[in-house]
Amino acid sequence: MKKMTELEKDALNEITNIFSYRTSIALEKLIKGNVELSVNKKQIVTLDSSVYSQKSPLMYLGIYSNIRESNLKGNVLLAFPKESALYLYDRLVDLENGSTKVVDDEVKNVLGEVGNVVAGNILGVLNKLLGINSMHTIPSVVPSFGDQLYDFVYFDVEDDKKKAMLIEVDTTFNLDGYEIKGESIMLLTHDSFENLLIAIKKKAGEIK
Amino acid sequence: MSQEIDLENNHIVLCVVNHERYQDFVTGFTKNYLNNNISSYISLSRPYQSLVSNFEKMKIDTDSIFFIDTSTMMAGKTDVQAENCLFIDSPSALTNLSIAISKVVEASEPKYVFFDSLSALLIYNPEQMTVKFTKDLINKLRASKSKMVLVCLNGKDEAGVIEKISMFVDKVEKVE
Repeated sequence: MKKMTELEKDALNEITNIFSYRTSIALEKLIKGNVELSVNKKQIVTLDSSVYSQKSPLMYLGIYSNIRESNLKGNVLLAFPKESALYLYDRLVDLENGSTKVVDDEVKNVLGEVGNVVAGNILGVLNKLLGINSMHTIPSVVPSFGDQLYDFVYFDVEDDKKKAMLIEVDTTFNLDGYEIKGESIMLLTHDSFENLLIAIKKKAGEIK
Repeated sequence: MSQEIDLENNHIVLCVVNHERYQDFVTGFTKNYLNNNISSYISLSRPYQSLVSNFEKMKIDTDSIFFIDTSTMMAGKTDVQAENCLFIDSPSALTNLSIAISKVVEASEPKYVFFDSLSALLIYNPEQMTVKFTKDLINKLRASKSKMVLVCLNGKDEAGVIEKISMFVDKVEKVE
């Protein structure tokens, strides 16, 4: 991959900000409460050079969705530590915090819907800003220990792993006083990332 | 760094692993025990493809390992096939999981069965069901020639299961 220009870097940086903002808005709507957002770290790197930003070997629940049937191909993954994911579920279905201990089909469905809304919002940004139409599959809820989360970041993507690009945002959402640390990760195949850069350039040309 | 597990004198061992040691322990155990032995790896949190790719990087011979994978289909990939893997749709499909383990143990008589992990099983099943399933699994393996290692993270969510299952295994090994 050739080196990115400052314009491309700035544009991608802005896109990650919008991803986080949209995720926060989506969560606000879902929990019908206040969500404050802080971005702790973000990186746009190749998959192999990615440094997992939450090195702690916690158990995570990842909400994973495959992007397909468009000129973007890859995966979107939203990951929370298990306790945070179950807290989110309890909030969404109006249960007392700590009521849910097991990820049954109902929990999977509700968390899957969170993933559906968030993935839809993220891809919607690309559509609205850059005119890239993307579809995503119905999200699945998957368990993972620490950096094994990356198994699902690259899951079912047929491409050269070394060239795939990762847009990763490490975020803290404050839900009415409860802090949820989450990861929003988008993996794009090499060609898809090139398509994204072309769309950015095209958009920049229109603005000029 | 890997840890020696006494599988010469014990048939069923429960390994209670600190979170920080989990990855090293799993890799070390696979390299030292499953590698080059007819064995079985039951994975409840990592897809078959990722496991194999990771093990091959570490020069582990995966041809002799038969896998049971409950992650791949759960992540939405249903059209999967592999010669040395059985794919189960979810870790909560306990009957299917039990049947798959029986099939593998009866058909290939693995020297070692590695169950990874009770912690992942607990995410999808209530403690009572997890304990019952594990007790049945222990009984099944006791009646076979295969030796089994059960992995469980040393966390507060797992404390009840560790206490109950400890009574049914030959040895509890702490990996700290």
